[in-house]
Amino acid sequence: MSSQAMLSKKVILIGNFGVGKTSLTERFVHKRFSDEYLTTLGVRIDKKEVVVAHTKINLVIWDIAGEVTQKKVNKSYYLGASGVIYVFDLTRPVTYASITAEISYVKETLPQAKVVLVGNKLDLVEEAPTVEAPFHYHLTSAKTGESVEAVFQDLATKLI
Amino acid sequence: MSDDLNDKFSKVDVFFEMFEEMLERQNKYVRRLIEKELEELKQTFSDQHPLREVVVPAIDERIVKIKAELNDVSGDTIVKAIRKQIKESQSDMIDALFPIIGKLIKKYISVEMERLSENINRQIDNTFSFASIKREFLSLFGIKEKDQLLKQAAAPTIEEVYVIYQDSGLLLGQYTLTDITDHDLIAGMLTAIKSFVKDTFQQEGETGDLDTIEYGTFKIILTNFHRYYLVVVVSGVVDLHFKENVLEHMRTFGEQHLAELSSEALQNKDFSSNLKDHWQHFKNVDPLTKRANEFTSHVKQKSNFDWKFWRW
Repeated sequence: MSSQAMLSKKVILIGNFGVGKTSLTERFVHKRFSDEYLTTLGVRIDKKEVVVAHTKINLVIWDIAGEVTQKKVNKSYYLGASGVIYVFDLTRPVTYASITAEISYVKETLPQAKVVLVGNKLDLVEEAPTVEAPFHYHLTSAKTGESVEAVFQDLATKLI
Repeated sequence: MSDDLNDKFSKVDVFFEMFEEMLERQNKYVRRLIEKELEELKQTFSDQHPLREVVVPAIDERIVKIKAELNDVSGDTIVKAIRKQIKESQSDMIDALFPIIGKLIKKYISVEMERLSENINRQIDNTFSFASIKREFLSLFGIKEKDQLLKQAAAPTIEEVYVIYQDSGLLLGQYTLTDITDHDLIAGMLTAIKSFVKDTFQQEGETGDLDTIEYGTFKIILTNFHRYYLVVVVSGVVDLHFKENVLEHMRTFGEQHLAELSSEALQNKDFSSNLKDHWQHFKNVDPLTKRANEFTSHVKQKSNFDWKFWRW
């Protein structure tokens, strides 16, 4: 918490294994802890300050490890989250096959949280596949950085 | 050519024939011998068992001999080489070993000081009971001055104090004496560790929570208050009395500032100034003073009535 008063919000990043959650945060954040925490505790915490409509927001990002959100993620890591970034891999249909059910579960667990959907690895597909998602999703590439900033800006806007 | 000469030639011929025949026999004999030797060698090599019986003990014997020689010669040489290396590059050796040994010594001293401190406190508790205050108030009951000085020298210091929102792990305020890594990240990680420990080790029906983390000479004390928790990071020797004092101070802070806060709207309140006001004057009240204060307070309460009586 800096000396200047600002909003602090907890944001969680979830999605199947290997969809690029950690790569997305690496593209986005300035301050981060070692990757070792991700394997030992199942979570790594990063932080980024963003400005939306002249309001500074301190995003504390919990990058949560886990294969399937409903089954294997430590539920206490969800607690108190104001925002959720659900990431899927555009090259692997299995990562977005049950997206509607996963989002319903997230909404049940965190009814107040704002959710943003992200289809990652755009650089690996010639044409983005049509994904049956409950709402609009961002197309990003953590590799090239395409639209990564926009994802967090979009979420921050929803949070204020 | 005369007959005599012819006769001589014929005798020489006979001699040569005999000599040739003799050589032939000798050759045959030598060949047989060689063939026999070869046959024996073939037999020896083709039959592995007898060969093993001969070769293996010989190799073993040689290995034992080599080992003994190595111990006698190389052992000495290696030890001498190490000694020489240490002598010639003492500063390098110190640089390499100091971080490891230094930490060990620091930790050892810390643990020993903690024990000593506990012993002193136990001694105070044993000897300075409320009943004996009147009788022995002015003496230190065998507590040596050097022990008191040692205890003062290893006095614990409050390094950091945090107020953290339990669920989200968001930092709501900090009082800090050190410039360490980002406090928001520390608050988040502490919350994650707390949740991890709880989820991993909590048994059915149990309501416990992580209350202390130790790292080297640092102790991290955690206490829950409603939807928040307080964290105090202390360096130095933390004995039970100090910990009790810190917990008491934490409780007071919680009652004064966190008791009424339960609304989500107050999540982003900054408690930093409250923490500073509350903790900058924190003093570790040693058990002796604590007992003396209790005694004074007790006497004062009693004497209020008595004084009136005596005045009257």
